[in-house]
Amino acid sequence: MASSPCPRKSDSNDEREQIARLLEDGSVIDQPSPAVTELAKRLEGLGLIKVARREYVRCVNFHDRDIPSRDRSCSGKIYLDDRLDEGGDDYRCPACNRVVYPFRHRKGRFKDIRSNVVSESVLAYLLRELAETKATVKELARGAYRADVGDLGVAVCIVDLCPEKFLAHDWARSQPTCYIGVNARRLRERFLDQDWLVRVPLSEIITGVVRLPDLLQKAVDASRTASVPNASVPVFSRGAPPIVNDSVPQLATPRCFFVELGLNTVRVNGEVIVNPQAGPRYHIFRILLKRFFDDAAEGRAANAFRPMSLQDIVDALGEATDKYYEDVEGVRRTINRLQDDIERTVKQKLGQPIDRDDIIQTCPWKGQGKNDFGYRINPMSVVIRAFRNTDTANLS
Amino acid sequence: MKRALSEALVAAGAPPPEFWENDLEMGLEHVCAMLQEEDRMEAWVDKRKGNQAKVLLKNLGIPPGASTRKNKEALRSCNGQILQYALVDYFGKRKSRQAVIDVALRILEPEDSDECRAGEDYDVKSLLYALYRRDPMSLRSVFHLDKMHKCGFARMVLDKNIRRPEQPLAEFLSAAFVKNVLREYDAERTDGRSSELKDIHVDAERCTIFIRRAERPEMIVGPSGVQHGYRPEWIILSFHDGGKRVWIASVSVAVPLQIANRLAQAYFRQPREYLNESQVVTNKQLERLFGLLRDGAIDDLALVELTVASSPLEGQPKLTIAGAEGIGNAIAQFERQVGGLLSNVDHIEAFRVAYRTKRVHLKLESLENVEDGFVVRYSDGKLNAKERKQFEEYMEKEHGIIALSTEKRFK
Repeated sequence: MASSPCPRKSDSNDEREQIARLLEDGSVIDQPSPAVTELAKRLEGLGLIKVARREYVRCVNFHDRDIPSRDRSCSGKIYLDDRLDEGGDDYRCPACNRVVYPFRHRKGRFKDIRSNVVSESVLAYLLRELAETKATVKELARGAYRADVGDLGVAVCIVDLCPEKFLAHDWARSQPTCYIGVNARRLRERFLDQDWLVRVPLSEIITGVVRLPDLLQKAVDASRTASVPNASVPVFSRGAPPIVNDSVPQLATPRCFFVELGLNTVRVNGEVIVNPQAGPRYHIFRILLKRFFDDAAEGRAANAFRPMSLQDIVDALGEATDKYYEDVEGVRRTINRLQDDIERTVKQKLGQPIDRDDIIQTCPWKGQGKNDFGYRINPMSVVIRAFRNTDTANLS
Repeated sequence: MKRALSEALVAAGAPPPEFWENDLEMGLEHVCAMLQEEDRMEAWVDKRKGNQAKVLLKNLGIPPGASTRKNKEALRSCNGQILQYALVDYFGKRKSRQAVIDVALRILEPEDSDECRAGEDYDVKSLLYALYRRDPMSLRSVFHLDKMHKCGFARMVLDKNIRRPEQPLAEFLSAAFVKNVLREYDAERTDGRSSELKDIHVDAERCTIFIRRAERPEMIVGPSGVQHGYRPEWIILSFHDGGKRVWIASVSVAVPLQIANRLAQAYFRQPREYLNESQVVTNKQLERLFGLLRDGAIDDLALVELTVASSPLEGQPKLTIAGAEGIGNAIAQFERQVGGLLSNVDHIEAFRVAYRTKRVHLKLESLENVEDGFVVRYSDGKLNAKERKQFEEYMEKEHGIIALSTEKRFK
């Protein structure tokens, strides 16, 4: 692999420190000097970082003519952005919320740069550097390589990117390893305080303070001569219990709900919304679902699915339960309560966005008085699936 | 100085100083002093862009020339006539771009608004010149709409769901009727403050009333010494849903609500009151949202600040984590190494999200007798009316979260 041109090698402490700072992911350098700007360009040219150059005004700057009467010590910075409307009061101090007019008041401008490390480019850079050593290089994992140097070879691990197992004491004790840190901040302190560990910040490789072949050789030598103590590794951490970050399932857009109809139960996305003891609710759902299936079987488009009038539902309910329902309004109220309960249950139990009409939809019923309505299973958001056993019912 | 300006405006056929000073709240004294500086108008003409010069020439009935330079020369030769446009320019300085565009697209003919295009967007100053030519009074609409874009609105709802009268609210709320209600209200309060109806704006969704009212005592220093008076406040009552809801923007807390209640009482013909709207969002919904924000799984929304009232650090101190960009990864790291922040919604006090180009502050408000859930309130004054609507629709549709304004009103 051909190596890209390296920046000017230098042993200047200042330059090394600035490069180290630029290699801290997300670091912000305020009012960067021309030298820092130049270094940022060079690192950007190597692809190691992406640099955002930003311009801002200060909320309180005594050289400006808009000194606020209150909170004259505010240290807020307001970044300029072409998309914001100054006349629309879009420029606000993030610290004190004061509206400022950077252009109208010709406020003094300041610059900063924010660097973001490009991990893949760091890996590529290191591979190029390893290739220059003429040693055969094999990738062990992302951010961990073995260079064919010495009897056993040397593992080269980027501490910010490699898997945890390469950072274990057992690994470092048994394998000649050299560790490279992209983020140099407190790098020495973050390692075990052991002389035999070979570690170096990436900035020292970039500036040529450390040569990679020397580093590999040092790792070989250290593994031969070092007296490695057995570190005591605790089997239990008494710190805060670890938090398992379950990733939240993303919902398909537009909304989609899986509805299952059992013998006397209805579930939405695995959550029971009609209980066995619910009586007419179950039958009403079943009646509406039958209409849904009929329309689907006829090949109707979703927007042409027919709503059932309240009277039709009452008649069908009478047939299904072998009872006479005199109180039509009572059935209407049952449906309305069912809609409310479905919405509430899904919000409370699943936390998912849902509207009242997403499962059972209220539609204006044509052909009846203007105050009459029809109901249908919402063909836009409902997907019917077979009833599953409770332990497998959860929405995947 | 002011008299000279007044005469110059009359000579140019422009509206009288009363219009600029009272309706548009421009201090002509200050503008006069500025415009009378030597070569000021020359410099003003020089600063005009190509399409601004063209629109100005069209306004003055002069055919535009082949180049911007020639157009500016033509403008310089009619100094007395362009004075009024310098005032329009001054008026437009702190006006919301969205407000100007909204009014212009409603009032101007498409070919007139097309002349004011600058690339894919509109040149706001050109639009203002064109609006002024069409009808100087349209600047009042810009002035009023600008206020709607810049303030938060308390969301109030009628205390009881009642049947709407047959007469539409927009018809009922005539200027004469509202003025009468305001007069009666001021007379009953006997505090010396007066209310002035400035405009009633009706569109398909709402009926909006603009009122200027004296608020708290204040003094100003003028050439003749100190003058005592009141600081003005703008009260905006925006009635929705046939009067069943009202959005209120104001400085004072009680007065606008009392006026709105009077109007509702007259319309519904029964004593009714507006209450602060509160929509409960369940803990599970919030947990889901915070989970997505932490994972950085939402394209349109990024968590940029989180305040927890009780953190997992020793002594449970209040903790705020903030960043210029998304802090989802930082939160995840904190949770792994120290303890949970987002897992207990009860401990979260407020958070801030980056939505498009703005940072929106949201807070969780607990309600009495509600155990599972909070009311989510956000600082809607930071978004313009269009962005507000988009944000609320987005939060409800994508996350099932009804976000209400942090503004509230009480009697």
